[in-house]
Amino acid sequence: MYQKRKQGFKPFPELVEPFSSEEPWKIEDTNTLQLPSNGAVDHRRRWMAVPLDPSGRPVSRHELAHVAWSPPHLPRVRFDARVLAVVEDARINRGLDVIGIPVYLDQEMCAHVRLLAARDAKRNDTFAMVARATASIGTNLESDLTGSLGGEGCAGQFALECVVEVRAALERAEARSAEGIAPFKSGVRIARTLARKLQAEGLLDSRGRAKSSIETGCCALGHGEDEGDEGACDRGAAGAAHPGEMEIVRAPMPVRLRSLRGAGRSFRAATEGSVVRSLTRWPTDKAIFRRRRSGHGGASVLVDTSGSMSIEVSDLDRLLLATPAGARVAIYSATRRSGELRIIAHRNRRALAADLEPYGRANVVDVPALEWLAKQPGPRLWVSDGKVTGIGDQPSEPVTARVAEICRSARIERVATLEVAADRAKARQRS
Amino acid sequence: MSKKSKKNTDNRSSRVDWVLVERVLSSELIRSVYLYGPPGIGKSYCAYYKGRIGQGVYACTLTEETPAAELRGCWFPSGDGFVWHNGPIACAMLEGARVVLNELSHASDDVLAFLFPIIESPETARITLPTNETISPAPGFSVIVTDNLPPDDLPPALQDRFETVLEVTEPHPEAVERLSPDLRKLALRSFALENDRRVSLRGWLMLERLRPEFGLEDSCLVVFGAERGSQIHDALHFQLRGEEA
Ligand SMILES: Nc1ncnc2c1ncn2[C@@H]1O[C@H](COP(=O)(O)OP(=O)(O)OP(=O)(O)O)[C@@H](O)[C@H]1O
Ligand SMILES: [Mg+2]
Ligand SMILES: [Zn+2]
Repeated sequence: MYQKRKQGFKPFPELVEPFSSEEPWKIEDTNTLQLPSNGAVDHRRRWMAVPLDPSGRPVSRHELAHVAWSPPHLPRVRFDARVLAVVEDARINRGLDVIGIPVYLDQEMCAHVRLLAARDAKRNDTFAMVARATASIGTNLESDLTGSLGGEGCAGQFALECVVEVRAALERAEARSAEGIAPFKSGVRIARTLARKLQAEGLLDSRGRAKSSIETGCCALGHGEDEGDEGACDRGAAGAAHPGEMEIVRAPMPVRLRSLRGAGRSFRAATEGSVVRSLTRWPTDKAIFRRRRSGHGGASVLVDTSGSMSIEVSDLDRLLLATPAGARVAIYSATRRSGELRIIAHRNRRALAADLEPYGRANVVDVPALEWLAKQPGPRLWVSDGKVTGIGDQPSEPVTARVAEICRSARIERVATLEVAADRAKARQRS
Repeated sequence: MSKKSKKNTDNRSSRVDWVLVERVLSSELIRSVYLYGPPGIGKSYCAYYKGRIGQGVYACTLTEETPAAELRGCWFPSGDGFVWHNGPIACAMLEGARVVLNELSHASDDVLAFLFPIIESPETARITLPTNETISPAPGFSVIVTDNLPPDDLPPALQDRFETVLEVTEPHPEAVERLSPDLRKLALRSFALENDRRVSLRGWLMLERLRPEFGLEDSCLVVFGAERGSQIHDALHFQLRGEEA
């Protein structure tokens, strides 16, 4: 279901914040944002970003804990603020473990963080090694990351020592608190001690700043640029992009479409009713009454809502206003690798404007989307600029050829704009 | 927009509350009400149990497939012939009872057309049944529509026939009272959320009922599904931990 697809993964910071407020938080998907980390929270703007997919649960837990237990702003300190941020991450991760909802990252995320940690070591970024391992305290990655520090020479030994000390200090603070969660004040003290140790090692300059490039908006664990060789694996062996995976979903459709006179109206025979239609059926099945049946038939319209089309939600809304009952309308778009086809009008009902936002900015799934259209009743219209792509939003010969073939065999007509599609759909239905 | 809020002349909150809804449902002067708001806040419950219900309540939930004949009545085969059965609207008109129509925005054109002569002033409201009997509403007859959407998508002439259009956005306080205090505090916070994340009163009531038997985590999964259920559980866990088995 569409609703479940992304919306179902949205967390509920409103339920954990210390004081209740009328204003809801804005939740965004880190998969569609260019953030340095896979989770972030801004108390003041009441904004939170987490991955809205099954892997996001541990990240959401961590961010919820920030909302529940971290102060809205971290206080100003005389040392690198990143030191305080990672100790704070460690403090709340351990807190989550204590209350029974630990941060348990999935295999893929673990592999990603391990890769980032290995890169820190390769770059001799000792500060980042300390920061990342400290932020992993209390998660399922802790033993993994600390374990591999052992094999990274002196720098690794030093980082390991730091992590062990931070954890021991947190444990002492936890033992003193009634709830078993170290108070924020203790976290600040532990961070100060860690900063002194880093400074003694020459990792912080005289003003307390580190030269490291690691960013800690929140969740230093997953920080690190994602460039690299990814583009290469988006393309197949022959260098041609394949179509991405596509999910077909139905938006909720609470609104009625206007019925066009004469379109899709029909009656069926029934044994109960109040309007007699055919007395001749009496001897056979007694279905002499007629009953209204809701409309079928009409055009099928598929709309490419990728970035290059620059179609606004208001444009789609207008298309739906002009769509007669009986038509079906779907939109599709994608992120780099996969996409979604969303049915937004079917029979005599349509979706609300709020559910017309595109899924992503890329094409990627033109082929599966057109395969869907080919299976719908005709006439079939495809609103698109004709630019089609596969994984990585890369144009490719096989994709272009397959699209041409589907359009030919299913008699799909491509139209460039929504206006043309609306006119065409209406004209076809009347005839 | 609700007709009610237009009348507001001072700067008090223009929100319609349940006290006003119940006064409307009790009033002899009002015979047709369109009540709308988000799911699970107690609209149907209120229409069934509050106000003038002494002469009976008939209830229908409409879908695209519901034919007008189901509301009016129809011939049933009986032996070698047919007998006429009055539908809920015909019955309510004859008995001066209340008809509650849930989800009018889902109704077919057929049903909408049938309602025109029924939601009328008593002097002009009448229908002739296929039996040739003409019936008009007995005193006390009323039509209450409950829906999630405003009446904007109904034919204008039908919209105009509703004497009152009321929007309620908050759950009925009596229903909220049924939640235990710890859940109630959290439920109240959840009602103000945007549609995507709004947790309905129905969901909270269900959770309350299942929690003793299934525990917090499993009842969240059962009531809200795997994905939403996990998110709701994690948030509730911050406040309700310790109670879990
Ligand atoms: N006044 C009340 N007292 C006790 N329980 C109530 C009350 N109002 C509603 N409830 C409970 O809340 C639940 C939802 O109520 P109801 O079905 O009336 O919602 P609704 O607004 O009609 O929802 P929908 O728009 O989805 O039809 C019901 O299970 C009902 O038992
Ligand atoms: Mg209801
Ligand atoms: Zn964090």
